[in-house]
Amino acid sequence: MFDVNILIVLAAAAMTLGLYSYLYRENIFFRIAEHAYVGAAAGYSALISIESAWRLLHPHLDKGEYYWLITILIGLMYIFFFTKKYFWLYRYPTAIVIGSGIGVYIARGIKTQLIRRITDTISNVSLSILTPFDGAIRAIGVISALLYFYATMEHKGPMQHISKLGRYFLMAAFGSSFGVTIMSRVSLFIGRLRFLYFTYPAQYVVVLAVIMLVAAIIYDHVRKAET
Amino acid sequence: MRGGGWAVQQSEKSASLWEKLQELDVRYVYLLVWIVVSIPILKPLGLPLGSISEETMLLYDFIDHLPPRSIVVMIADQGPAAATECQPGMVAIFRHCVEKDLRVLFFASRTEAVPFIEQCMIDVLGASKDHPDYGKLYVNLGFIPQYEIGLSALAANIFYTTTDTYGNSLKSMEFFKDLPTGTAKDWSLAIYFGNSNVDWVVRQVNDPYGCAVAGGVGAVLVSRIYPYYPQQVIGFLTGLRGSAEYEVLVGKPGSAVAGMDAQSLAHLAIIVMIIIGNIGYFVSKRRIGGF
Repeated sequence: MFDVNILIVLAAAAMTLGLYSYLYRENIFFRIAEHAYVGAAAGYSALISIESAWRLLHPHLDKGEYYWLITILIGLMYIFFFTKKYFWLYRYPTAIVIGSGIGVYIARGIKTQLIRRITDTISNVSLSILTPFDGAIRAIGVISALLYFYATMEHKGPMQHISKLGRYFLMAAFGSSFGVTIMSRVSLFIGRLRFLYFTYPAQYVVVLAVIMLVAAIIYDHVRKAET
Repeated sequence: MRGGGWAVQQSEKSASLWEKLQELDVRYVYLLVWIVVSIPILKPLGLPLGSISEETMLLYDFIDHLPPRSIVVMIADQGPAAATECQPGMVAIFRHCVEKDLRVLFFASRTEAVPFIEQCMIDVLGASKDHPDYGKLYVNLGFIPQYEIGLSALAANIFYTTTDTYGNSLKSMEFFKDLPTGTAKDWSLAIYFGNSNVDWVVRQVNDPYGCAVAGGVGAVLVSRIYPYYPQQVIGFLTGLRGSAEYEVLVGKPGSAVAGMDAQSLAHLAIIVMIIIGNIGYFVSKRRIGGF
């Protein structure tokens, strides 16, 4: 009896290697994998979204609260994005989503992200022995980095040194972001390699891909030598 | 004179070597990373994990001290790209919650995260909706759209969604029987898993309802979560390493621990390459009179 899971694993392995093949150069396998991924992701998202909308809606319809159907009509207005004549109708659902999003955000955001950020920056002092030092560095970093962007005054004298210090703090922050981004991407690569190496029969696709890669390298060298 | 000429020759030779290295085809770097990552995956080296980080430890302690039947909300926002880092942590934390007899409410804020909740329950309980404690201790609400708006509605009224992802009525479930307020005030902890943004969780459940927030986040998000730590975010797992630490803490090493050797070696290789690249940059700059 044929196991459909084998087919799924083979497809997943082929898609993974197809996407990674771009690292050698642009090729047909990458294009196929890329388009399949985008299409599958869009289809899957649409299906889950529709299922979820129906799950939220149908208990209301069961109770005879048909006015909830208005939400479906508003959602369907997104389709007018594709027409020139009725494009303006597309703006209504967009306005509702953006408006409600901003409303929900503003209500909490000012306290959580502005006021609390400022107070916590200064008052973060009592977790461990190192914390007062840590808190002082944080305060100096925030103030100097903010002053780096202060454009109303010319950066001369002490201001020059403070803004330079701010620049160093910013560079340290960017360096840290770069480091954790690498960490994240390597983790993703590790996950895919573990799948390719340890999931039967993905290993066969890896062997096939390596053979194809070697063939592509030889082919490229021969062509380069000829020209 | 000969000596001076020899020195100049050597300098030119070494400079050209650094320049060559700088102009190295990037595909050799990819090849090197592939080899370096593959070796420890195929033949684990058993490198030590080191001490458990404070962020992980605080989260573990918080969950460990929660009274039985406290509610932990797990927000799955990991797509396939973030799953390698976040999924092992989610499984380890859920395992801890199961051991401590806590109630766990799952929901996905991203469509791609839906299957990861199901997988997490199967990995720990061996079943999802068919488990005898499903509906009593564990509930999966499935996908709740619109991130912050969805969470805001759910935090204000837990029955905002009337059914779970399998279509069972929430009001008929034992899980929801003794909720004092039906809002996020009843939640002890909300944990975000993913690598997009933790701000909206802090905004919607920590500040207005006083619910503790934690994260099992991709490493890429760590620099954005630190400003909230430890006042608003009580602890978090930093990418694969954080997940590995939590697996060790719950005594069930899994895929995160297995991936740490490869992670360490890959980082080492990248650090070496960055150093070589920088030396090459400064040497060639000095050679053309940049310094």
